[in-house]
Amino acid sequence: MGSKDIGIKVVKPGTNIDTTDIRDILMSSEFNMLKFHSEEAGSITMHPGDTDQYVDFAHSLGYVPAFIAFFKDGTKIYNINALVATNNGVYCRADASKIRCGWGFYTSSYGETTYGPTSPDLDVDYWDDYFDDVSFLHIGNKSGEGPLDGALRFDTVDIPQGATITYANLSFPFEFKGSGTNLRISTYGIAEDDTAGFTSNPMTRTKTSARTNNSLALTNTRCDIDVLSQVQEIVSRGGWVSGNAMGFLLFDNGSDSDAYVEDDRGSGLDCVLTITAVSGPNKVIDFRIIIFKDKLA
Amino acid sequence: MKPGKDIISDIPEDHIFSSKYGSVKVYAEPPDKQYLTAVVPAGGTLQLTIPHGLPFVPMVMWFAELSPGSGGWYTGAVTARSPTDFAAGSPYVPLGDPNTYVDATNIKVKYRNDTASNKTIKYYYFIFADNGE
Repeated sequence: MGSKDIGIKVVKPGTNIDTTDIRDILMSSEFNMLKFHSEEAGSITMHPGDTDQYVDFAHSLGYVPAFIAFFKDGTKIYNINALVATNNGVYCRADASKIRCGWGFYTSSYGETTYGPTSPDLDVDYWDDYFDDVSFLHIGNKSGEGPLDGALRFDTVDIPQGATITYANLSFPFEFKGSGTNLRISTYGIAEDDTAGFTSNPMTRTKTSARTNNSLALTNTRCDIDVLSQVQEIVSRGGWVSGNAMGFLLFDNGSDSDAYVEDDRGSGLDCVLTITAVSGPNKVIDFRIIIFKDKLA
Repeated sequence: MKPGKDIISDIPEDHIFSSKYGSVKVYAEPPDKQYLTAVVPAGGTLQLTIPHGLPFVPMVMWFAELSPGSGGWYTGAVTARSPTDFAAGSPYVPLGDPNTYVDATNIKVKYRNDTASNKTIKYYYFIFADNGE
């Protein structure tokens, strides 16, 4: 390299000017150096439920410049690629007019918590009111048995107290069913902080004011019951704690003759509860970027 | 020294250049300082291998336009994408990908395309004449 030196060359103190170790050269006309254009700072505030918050820094270069970006979360400063996950990440994206720094969520949102789908056999208690049985549950109007009611209890529901529920679904599979036409049921939550296991009849436990009425033909294979309001009412209770048990009461609501459905606990085709919630404090993320004059595109 | 700063200042931030501190030197960029392109096949991966010619593991800056034609460039190989580019199915380097690294011989970056159509990405790199290791 020494024979090609043209212009200026500066080496580290104490190093021979003819050094062949490129790392000993502080500056040389032979090598480009990134040229500083500007340094910018800004911030975003993430609110629970946000899917993308960003701040734009205009650069007026008219082309896409090279850049370095950092973000600060709390007291720690990170290179912009430090927070990359499968469903969200802090990103920095440059184009010919601006550099955008933000935090994006792809399949969820900031502050989101999900519960379920629950695992069959492990998390769910059944109560069949007609037989006082915990091994299965049948609901509706069965010939020879009349109106059928029941209850479900889900253990360890990890939703924070006071969270805002954005989705809650109770899925009841039609493992067995009658010959009738339309199934009509009403579903309430059990209005308790941490409803106890079904060692005795739970059907007289206090009901939530929220109720869902469903009516559907038995030609379906399952009933998806929107229980958002019931779940919201329960987690908003002052005594609710994440990890408590949550229960639901299901009542026949005028099903057609012999229109009933049955699900056996632990059969592999089980009742499933799925909840999505958002909670938590707002979060401020600070960004700092260094923009170079060197052109990418 | 930066304009307006005292010549005798020993605060590094006041210096444009100082023989007291090493400066990051660009050893190599794409030919003619023009970005390069590569096609990541539909439902597949593309391994980029760039020999750097240095006798040590260098520092590298990597940039790429992941969503073809979007004009939006990201820094780094493993990088979070904006929700818009994510939704567009832009190629990406998976977290923890073992085929993306710099060693004493090459820069290696492996992109993945989960969509049903080929994606042409643009990329640019700076290889610095300074140790990354």
